[in-house]
Amino acid sequence: VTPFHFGDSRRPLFGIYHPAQRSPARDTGVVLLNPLGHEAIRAHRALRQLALRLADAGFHSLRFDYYGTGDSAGDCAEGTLCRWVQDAGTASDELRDTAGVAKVSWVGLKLGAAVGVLAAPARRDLDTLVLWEPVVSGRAYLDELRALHAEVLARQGRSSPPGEILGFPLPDTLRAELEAFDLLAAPRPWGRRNVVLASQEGPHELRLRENVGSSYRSVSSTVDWSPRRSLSAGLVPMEALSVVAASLGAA
Amino acid sequence: VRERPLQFGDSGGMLGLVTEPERAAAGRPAVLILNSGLVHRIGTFRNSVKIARRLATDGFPAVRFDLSGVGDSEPRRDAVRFEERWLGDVRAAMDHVERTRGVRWFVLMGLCSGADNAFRAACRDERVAGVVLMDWYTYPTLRFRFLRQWARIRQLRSWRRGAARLFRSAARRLRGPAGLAAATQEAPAPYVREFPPRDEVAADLRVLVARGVHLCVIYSGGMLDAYNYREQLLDAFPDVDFQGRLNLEYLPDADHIYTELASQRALVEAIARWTGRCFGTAPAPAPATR
Repeated sequence: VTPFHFGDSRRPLFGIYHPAQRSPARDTGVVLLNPLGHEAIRAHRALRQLALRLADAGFHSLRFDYYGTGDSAGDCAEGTLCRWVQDAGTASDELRDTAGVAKVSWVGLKLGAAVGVLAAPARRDLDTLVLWEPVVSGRAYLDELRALHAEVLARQGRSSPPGEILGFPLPDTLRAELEAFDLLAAPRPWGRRNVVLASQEGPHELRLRENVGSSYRSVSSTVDWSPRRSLSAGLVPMEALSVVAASLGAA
Repeated sequence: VRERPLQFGDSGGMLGLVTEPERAAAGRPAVLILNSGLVHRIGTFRNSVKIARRLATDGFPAVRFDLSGVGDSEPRRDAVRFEERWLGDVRAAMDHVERTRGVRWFVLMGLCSGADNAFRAACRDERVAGVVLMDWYTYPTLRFRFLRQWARIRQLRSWRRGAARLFRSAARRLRGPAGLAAATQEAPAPYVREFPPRDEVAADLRVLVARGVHLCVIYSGGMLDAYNYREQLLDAFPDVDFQGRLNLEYLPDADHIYTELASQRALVEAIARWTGRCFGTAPAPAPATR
């Protein structure tokens, strides 16, 4: 694997390039789109395992951190959905250059799926878009995070301070962007193929199933991406990883 | 500050990033930030990144890296015990930074298991001039036991008042559609860590103090069942003369992983203050014994 910085040198993004471990390599590269905040930390191992698996199946892939997250430049409070959508494009260009592939596929986990659908219409080189447990309603997602945050703090007898959510700042711009996000209303086209992968069957997932139709796949195990056990437990949902990899043609 | 990826170790399988000051001051130690549990090198809530960038702004190169088998570092296939492997990893990181950056002194830093590893590595390597140990080992004292009992009694009294309320709200939740799921949800597993015998740690502390190592030990309020007042560490080690080399901080408003932004800022400030005071003006002290 090759860790490197890319993009605007004043505000570099950090990525890890996983070259294909089988030749001939596929002509489509895969960019992995992280979820938000604590979920990106919880999902780190799973996305790494996915990249390794894709490399074994002959795909070049790139994992990266959006601006203001992970190892990339920027303060946590500077993150905006708009900026992350640009970052997805920058990362895709970078992978095409580095790996010499003509097309890219994206795997977006949770909020990463939102980043994916928002970035997709501007890309003519997007092959498959895998929406893995996608955030369907940004507002409902925020409510969920707020409830979890309140629960975590209530256990310590505290109430949650405004402007932050589960250990990360929630600046006004990002909050407004999230509140306005509705996956089903997002402009299309997305990828040449779109695959939805969900482990829950809530009302949002049902709406999504009706809307996406045949490329909807459900996985039986529910994944807890919350920070409840972030120190002591790793998280690699094997079943979901297999389904994601299969969606991209890496059986 | 500038950041660069690092790859080191036997087959380049170890991965980290160095955050470097614009102008490196000669003689300053590099700070190595270790993993907490299985959280990769950015730390819980990205706190390791915040600490590294702050320290680099203050003139200290800071390295965040993944121990083998954690984050993006390859697992090691040898049959060595975890603790031994990790000590080897920390040594490999110091060797790499020493070789490529000409740094001779190090400050090792970590939270929880990271603190345990930092302490063990410091005991074995004379290049270590300082350690920052967050929610490190704890040993009960008489006052700790008294405070814990007192807290239990108070809890019991408020429990009797709150029990009826609790029962009513539980019944309400159970009646709701999501009630059953919420009620049967698994409680978070308690964090289990083993601490070495106190006497062993006291001996190690005396060795570190004699070597001139600076110690910054920070306890959060997230370990109340193990550490519940500011001076507990001092009371637990009455037989260690720290010779003014111990900076003990207690942040009772913070939880174990520093969830609240205010507690994150307090942590970064406490570390930056200590680092500046101990290593900001003069090169690291030569060890007393070599």
